[in-house]
Amino acid sequence: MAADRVIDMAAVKNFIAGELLYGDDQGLDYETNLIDSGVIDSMSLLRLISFLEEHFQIQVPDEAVIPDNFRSLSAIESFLTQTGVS
Amino acid sequence: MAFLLNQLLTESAQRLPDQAAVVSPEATLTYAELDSLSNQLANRLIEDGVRAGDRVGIFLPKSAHSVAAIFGIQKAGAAYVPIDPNSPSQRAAYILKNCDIRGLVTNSEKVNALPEDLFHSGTVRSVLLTDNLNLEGVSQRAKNARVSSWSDVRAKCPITNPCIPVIENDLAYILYTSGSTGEPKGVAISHLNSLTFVNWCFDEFGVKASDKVSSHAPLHFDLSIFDIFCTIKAGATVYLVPNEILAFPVLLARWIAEQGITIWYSVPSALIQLVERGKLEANNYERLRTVLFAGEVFPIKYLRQVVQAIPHPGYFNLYGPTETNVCTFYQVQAADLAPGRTEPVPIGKACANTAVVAIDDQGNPVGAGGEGELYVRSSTVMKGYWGRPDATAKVVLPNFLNDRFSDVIYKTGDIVRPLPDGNYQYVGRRDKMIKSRGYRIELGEIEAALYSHPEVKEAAAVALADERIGARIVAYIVSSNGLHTRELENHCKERLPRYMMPEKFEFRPQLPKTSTGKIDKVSLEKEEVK
Repeated sequence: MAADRVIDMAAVKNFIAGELLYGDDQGLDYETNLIDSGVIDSMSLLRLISFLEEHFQIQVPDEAVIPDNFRSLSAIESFLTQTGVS
Repeated sequence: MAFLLNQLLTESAQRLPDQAAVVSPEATLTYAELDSLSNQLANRLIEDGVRAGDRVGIFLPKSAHSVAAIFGIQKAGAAYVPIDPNSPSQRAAYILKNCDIRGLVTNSEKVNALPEDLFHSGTVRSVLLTDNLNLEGVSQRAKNARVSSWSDVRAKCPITNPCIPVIENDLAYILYTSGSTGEPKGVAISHLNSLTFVNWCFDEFGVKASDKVSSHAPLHFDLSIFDIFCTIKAGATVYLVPNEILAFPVLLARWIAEQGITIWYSVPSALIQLVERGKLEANNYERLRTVLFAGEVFPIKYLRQVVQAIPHPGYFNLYGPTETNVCTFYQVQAADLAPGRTEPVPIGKACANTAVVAIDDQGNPVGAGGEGELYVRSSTVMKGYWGRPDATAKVVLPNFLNDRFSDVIYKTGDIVRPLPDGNYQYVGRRDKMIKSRGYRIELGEIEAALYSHPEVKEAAAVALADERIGARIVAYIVSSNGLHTRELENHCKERLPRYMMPEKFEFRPQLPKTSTGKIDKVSLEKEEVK
């Protein structure tokens, strides 16, 4: 991961690897499509959102829960940036 | 008159060739297109050696292709076996071997995830790939099978229906459900079993060619039988919910409105997500006329919210295990949703051409006010669990209420209470089966996966009630030294589908025991609730 990332994406990656992939982060990189690969389904998405809300102290409005914001780690990063997380 | 499911397509294609049959993000197929494509697939399967009575697997994300595969397989005289596309490869391979598949419709990514030995015995003769990627690589793996691409089938196979002689008692499909001994059980359903249900729902809900029916459930889940076959019988259009938006309630709500869906069918948990996070008020659902739900108990407070948000459609609770398909149904009434009421809506009365009865522990029918296990008599009752006469004989019984002629009755394992108005109220399960998001889960299958790890000495899977999804699962383990949560999670992940994975793995030096020396799961449950 690039050293100049300001958002704590390592924590997001760890959460996805640990909680959603049960420790198996093989092949999980910034562009992995989390929807097509089945990592994100209706239940895991709710868990991911709760994690983001708690870890970054933000509110994720229902309207923001769209594939463009959650398709990959880099999409999540852009979304967090837009939300004002730094 | 159609006596096979695939004849429903043939008939509708003759009546309405240009009508859209399936709409999905990849493709829209008209009735004529779906009919001729499925004929081509059938002809290729037959060329490759698939025969009447064989089984052909479908291991694919749901798409217009998989719908064509369903009909193609049936037109070849075979039964289709849909596998959860997110299933771990070991479980998928177990199912495909268990029912001894002769053919497989898949794509190059999915087939490459399957263990190679699946193809070693030479019984798999035909592999059809919906993509054209890596045909050679797949041919290398599936050495004894002929591997064809979709485009090759479309270019070369005759578009005429092979008209294989099959009777209504032959198998139409096998749906695998969680098995208490650790291995999934294949519920074998004949054309007659399925058509009895399809004909009932077609009449009861007045499905018409102008209807737009959603397909939300995956194909390995029996809610899909209504979506696909009832729609095709009516000459209506089935709209496959795009995989991309399944998890995104705001988009799903908008999709229902924009597509003009008229009949929706899903598990309650999908509707709960829509009402909680879907911003339902942002759209107009004027075309939606019927909302069907099944698979689990719908907590009344959420059902009330859904009906308040979209008041005009008729809401129906459909009940029935995979082994019988739907056997009772109930239309939600305003009084059921009165403020302060907490009891879920009843499961209702028997469908046409189906009889149900509650039986007490002494084997006698129970009247209003009593409680008993629900038994079902109907042509919908399955042919049996595939290759498991022992398991079948425990639930498909000679009809003990009438021994003057040969008849069977199905023992559901569900406890119900007959109400004074003739409806039945669901009370609970007789055994350890639980439901999470409508999926049947045998805690025994989870425990078997835990015990299959050599370091696990004792294991218990416990279900905790959860209003939104039905149940959450916690695993308790006693292990020899050094076993880590991660390792055990990975071990289970290779064996269990996602919806069966415990949410928490807790290692203990010992587990509480009952006086008979069994693991005391009741006390584990109580600990968690605290």
